[in-house]
Amino acid sequence: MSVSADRTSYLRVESATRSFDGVPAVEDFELDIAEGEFVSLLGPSGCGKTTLLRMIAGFEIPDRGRIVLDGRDITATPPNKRPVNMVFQRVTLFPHLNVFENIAFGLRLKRVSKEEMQARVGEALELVRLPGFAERNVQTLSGGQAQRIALARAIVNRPKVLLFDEPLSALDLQIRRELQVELKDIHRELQGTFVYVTHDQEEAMSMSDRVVVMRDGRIVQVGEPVELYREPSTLFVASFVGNPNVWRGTVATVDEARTLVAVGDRRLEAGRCAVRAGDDVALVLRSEILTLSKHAQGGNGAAREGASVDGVVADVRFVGPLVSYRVDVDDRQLVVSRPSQADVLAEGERVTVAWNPRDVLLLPTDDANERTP
Amino acid sequence: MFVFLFAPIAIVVLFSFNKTASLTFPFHGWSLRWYRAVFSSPLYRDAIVASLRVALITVLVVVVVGTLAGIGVTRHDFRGRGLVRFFMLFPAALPGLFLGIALLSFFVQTKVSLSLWTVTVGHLVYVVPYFFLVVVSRLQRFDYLLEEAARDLGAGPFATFRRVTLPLIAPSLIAGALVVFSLSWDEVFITFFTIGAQNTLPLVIYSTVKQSVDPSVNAISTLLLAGSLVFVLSVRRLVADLQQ
Repeated sequence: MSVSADRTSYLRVESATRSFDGVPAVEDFELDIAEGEFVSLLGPSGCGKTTLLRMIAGFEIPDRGRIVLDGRDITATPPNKRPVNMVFQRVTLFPHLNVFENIAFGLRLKRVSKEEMQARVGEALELVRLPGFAERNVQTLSGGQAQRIALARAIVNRPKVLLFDEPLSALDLQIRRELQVELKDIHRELQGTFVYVTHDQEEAMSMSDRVVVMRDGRIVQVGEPVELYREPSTLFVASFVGNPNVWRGTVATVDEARTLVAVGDRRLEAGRCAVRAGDDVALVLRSEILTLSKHAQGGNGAAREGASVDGVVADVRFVGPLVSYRVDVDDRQLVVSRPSQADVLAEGERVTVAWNPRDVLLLPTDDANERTP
Repeated sequence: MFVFLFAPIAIVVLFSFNKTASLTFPFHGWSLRWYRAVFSSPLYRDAIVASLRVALITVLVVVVVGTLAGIGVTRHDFRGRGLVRFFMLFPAALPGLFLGIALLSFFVQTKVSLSLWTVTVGHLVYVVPYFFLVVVSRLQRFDYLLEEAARDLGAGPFATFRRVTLPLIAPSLIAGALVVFSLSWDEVFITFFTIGAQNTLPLVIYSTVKQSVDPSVNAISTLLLAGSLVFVLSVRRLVADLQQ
């Protein structure tokens, strides 16, 4: 899906601010979402993502700012009059109604004819892969089934925007992964506009067209998943979307070709970056950019400058397609991942960890001490 | 100890089927004559109708007022919320005897003539706390997210109440109503002080026993016992349904 600057705005959040007891949960928030887009709001708990979603749903009214949907200002429209529907974090199926009546809830309020209701509920059940569940008692459903029915109950109303408030967070890992794939398929089938709140970076990155990384009620960075991964604007984003190795240091020299960063008594090489000598930086080394080789016998000790360091394998973890190594480099550590097909190195083996300087990220450390994964 | 519980019950039930008017052993044989006496007596019939009328009106008013007050107190944070809660529960702290005398002097002062209506007012004041407690405890563990989900799906406040809140709290309302009915049905103290010309069933039984030895009292007591057994069992069923 193309994400360009001149994308037409379908759902627009305009300098929205909402405070609780004087503490701002969302502050001066600006966001434009295109029709048919799948946007995730990603951030740690308390970052304001749920408050923002609830403002779009109508459960919270912003203190300041506007919310415009399809050209109509809905800032103060009550939730029952907004053409949006929500899938909640907890199961909110009505326990006194069966599956059919739960899904038909919105249609009954709109006095849809019996035939149309039957057809639309049937379609919705097909879409969430639970045909034949219409007469089930909702209390007999598993967690995953309940959330599918909740999705069907929302979709059946053909909302202009579908809202998701961490709908999978209470489910087992395997079911969660399954439903992530299905949700993305459903998005493709419906061509609908989805706004999805989550604190799970993998979930956000794997499903969305765009991810909005939030913190303390504000946007830290917005972008396509690949963009966020490759070019995070801050260490916070890099940490949130990757879980990389982070070494702190000071820029020693910068020239046309490369940047050297002093970390302890080492001078480590990165590509050309927009930094100046003397800057404090975070050297971000993702585990997959690192290569691992057996230390050459009889070498003249560890190189202290360049795009590699020597160390000792401290721990080997086999995680399916990858083998994850923890390498002790003096008093620091690096996590390196290699494909499982490569020779497995033993614990205690002396190794050299190397990288391509261009793959290294140098980020400001401003917010570094506030959150380190 | 259970002898004192079950022996009297057994004796009352047994003698309600007695052939003769004696209330003591020996038992002379089976008959339904005392039941026939109860059903053919206009005194009992009128008393039953009067008691039913008082109990049903009490239930109706308490269910509406108590439910609204319960919702107000649990959902909305308003000034005087504590006061409302206090006034709804306060009558439970008053002895029935005191409440009866107080109501009587109030009605005399305000020149309201005593009738079944004054009895009903007395019962209302007396039973409100019990119903209120049942409703409030149900509403406090109500999942408000269900109401948000209903709003989200297009239901306005009234439709949300009718389609989600009410059906879910209905079992508690019915249980509360049954409790209220039974409290009103055999209430004596307040009724005694606020009654007019038309007596309720407990008062008729009381005066019958005082005046003469009438075995039909055994029959009506047995009927009441059967009624309250059915009542208790149905409440238990309801509670079981609630907990599943």
